[in-house]
Amino acid sequence: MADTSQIRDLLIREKQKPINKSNEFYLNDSQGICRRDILVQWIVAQSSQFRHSLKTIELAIIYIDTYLNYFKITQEYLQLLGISAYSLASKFNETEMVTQIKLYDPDGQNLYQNREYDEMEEQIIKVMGFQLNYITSSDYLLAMNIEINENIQSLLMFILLD
Amino acid sequence: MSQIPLSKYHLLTKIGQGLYGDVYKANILGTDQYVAVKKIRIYDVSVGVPITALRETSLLQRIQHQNVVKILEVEKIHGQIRVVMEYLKLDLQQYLNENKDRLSVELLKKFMHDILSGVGACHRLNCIHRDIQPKNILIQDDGTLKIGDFGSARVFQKFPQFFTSDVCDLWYRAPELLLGSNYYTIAIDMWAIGCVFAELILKQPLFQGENEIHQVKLIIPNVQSFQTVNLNDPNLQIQFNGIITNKLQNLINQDGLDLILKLLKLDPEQRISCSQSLQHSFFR
Repeated sequence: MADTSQIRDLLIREKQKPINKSNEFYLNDSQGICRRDILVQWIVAQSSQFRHSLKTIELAIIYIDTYLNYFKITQEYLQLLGISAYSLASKFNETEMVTQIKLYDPDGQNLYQNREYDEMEEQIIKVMGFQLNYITSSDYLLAMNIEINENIQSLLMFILLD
Repeated sequence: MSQIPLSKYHLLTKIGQGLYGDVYKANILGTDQYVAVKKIRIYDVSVGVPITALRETSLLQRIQHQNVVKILEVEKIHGQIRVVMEYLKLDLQQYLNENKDRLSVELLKKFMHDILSGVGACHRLNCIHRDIQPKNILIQDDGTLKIGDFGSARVFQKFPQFFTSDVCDLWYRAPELLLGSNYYTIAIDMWAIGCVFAELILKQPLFQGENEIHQVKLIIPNVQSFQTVNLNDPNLQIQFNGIITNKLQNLINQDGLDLILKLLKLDPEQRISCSQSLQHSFFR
């Protein structure tokens, strides 16, 4: 197992994301973490309450990255992007998942309007060119007959975060 | 000043109803070419863009094959999403209704080859169609068949995977689905293709059940209890082969009958695949 200092070194090292150099969501802040990574971390945390497959998370993150490279969005809508991308991915990839996932604040109030969910969903699929089907790392592993155990799952999660 | 049209397409008549909205025949403005336009129905609160539309547009854009219907464009007009596809005026169901004559062996070979190639292209991309039936097989003017309507299709990662069992039109539904299995494979498409093959020969659907129980009884006549049916029981298969052979033996050659029996294996594990079928002696 890697110890905490190794993990920290991994997280703050210079990342090879030249294409995203000018995108504020991919720029590290003073703690060495960018907001896109925080969003992905949050998605992974949220997804643990559904028993969804790893591929759903992988797809959601492809949608998020594509969207952030297309559009400028304000901080307040970042969470909406995250949850809508995850909703879309689970609608596409999961069985018996047909509704949008909605967010509530601690008082039980809707964080966003129903209309805003629909609009965000449409924007994402438009950016994706109405094509939500992507081949992901876990597809390759399964094609090579590699069983995805807990260790491999953690590794894939880390790659997604990275 | 004349108004600039918002859409390149001029909707003409409604030609059908898909899973997620009405389908129109439309004209590309300024040309004499026709396309089919699917309007995605205004969606319900908290559902968002319908899952069927998402899967159809995603999968059709990935599967580029001469025996699969082509998607031309997806456009958003007046806040409405429209899926534009190539227009084919005839489907296999209409064709069978309009042509009373028996199909020649040559035509059967061509039709089956097209269907197996189209569905095989989906299967190669890890996609199950889940709604193979004559209505969803379209015919181009030159006689080429194209698989259409991917509203029920989905991608899979590995087998067995948990899916919803309420798929496929009843008459084309594989026995494992009828028995309520949620863990099925691309073999369900192969069963449906087998039913379509038999229908091309018989000129009527092979098993026309009125409900699910009736449908099972048509396939396994002396079924006692649904829970105890064992699909890989060899005796059951022999009995079933007898039913099929009785219905078809004077209407098709030995190779054709053999292919049908391989497509219509009760046990999904033993059912032949698209690529294996295309190698079958029937096509030689």
